[in-house]
Amino acid sequence: MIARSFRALDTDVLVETDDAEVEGAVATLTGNYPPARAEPSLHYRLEGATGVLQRDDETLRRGAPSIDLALIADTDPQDQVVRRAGESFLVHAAALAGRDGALLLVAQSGGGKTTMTRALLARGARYLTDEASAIDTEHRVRGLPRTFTLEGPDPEGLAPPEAIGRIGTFRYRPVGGGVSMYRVVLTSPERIVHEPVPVAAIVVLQYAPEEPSGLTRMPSAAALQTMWGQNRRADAAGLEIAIALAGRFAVHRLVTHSIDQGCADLAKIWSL
Amino acid sequence: MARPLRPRRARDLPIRELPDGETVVLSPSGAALVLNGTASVVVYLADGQRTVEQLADEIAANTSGATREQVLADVERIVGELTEAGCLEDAGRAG
Repeated sequence: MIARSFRALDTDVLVETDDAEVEGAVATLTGNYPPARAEPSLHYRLEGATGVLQRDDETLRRGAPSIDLALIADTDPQDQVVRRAGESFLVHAAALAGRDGALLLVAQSGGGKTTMTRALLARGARYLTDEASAIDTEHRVRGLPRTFTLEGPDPEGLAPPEAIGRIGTFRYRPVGGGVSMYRVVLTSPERIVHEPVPVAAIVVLQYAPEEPSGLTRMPSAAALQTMWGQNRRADAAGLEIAIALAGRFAVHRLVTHSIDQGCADLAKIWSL
Repeated sequence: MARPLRPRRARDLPIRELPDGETVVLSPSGAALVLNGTASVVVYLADGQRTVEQLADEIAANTSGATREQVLADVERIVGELTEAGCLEDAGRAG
């Protein structure tokens, strides 16, 4: 068995596999996470020969082709560590660190979080997450610093992925058949922030091609409902934190039609 | 779902206030519902003792610019929505 352990949010995770190719893919997918600090409390076992994916004592899949195991196993730890995170507002939001603190970019899937995160990283920001943020009672954010998946051509105006890190690859089976190379960007380690960063600004990214671009301040009730609508865990403690954030911070809504314009608008309320 | 005659807040319903005074409840399904003025009063008064009509009477007595019938229609709609969301339940039919 080959073992790899890492820490994500508050959880130490151990992944074991008997398949060297699967281990290589897991190492690539989880390469942004820091090493585990304690005895892992979340265990995965991936068996290449039998296609078994096991979480702790539960078998999640059996008979999966070994080439698929790493990708199948990628999302489950993300969901699990979010569920296990300590008292916090867990929100579907990107987070970046700058001079004054963290910028939270809240958006639904496809709303531009990853694109804006890569654009801001290329301009000098540091990386917490492009997907899941945990904000604690002191309004400090920690992130799930997953790798960026490269699919298709990048949007116009986005710096090449090498501007923020190195590209990792492994084999996978795309929908439609055949075997292809899965490509991700592993952020340069010195640009990843694993410690909590105080929130400095909150922005809701809005895909609205029919509207003029720009930043507008949201009423606190609308800000709360929008942020809460993107929660990853609905509990009363998280709601308390979300309410406090909506009251303490001027939450802005950003409509943008270009990466450069979006970054320029963000610079009005948050410093890299 | 039938509208309760004597609405009562769901047990342990989280009720919070935004800094600018608006009331928020966390529904059992996990939605954060921001309440308008009438809805927040309904939630606070819904103790399972008052009927919907009595709620409307109390609110109408402290409301200007709306008839009692208008307030009753508003309260009935709010009770229906909050019951549907699981924030209110029926404390029992009037005897």
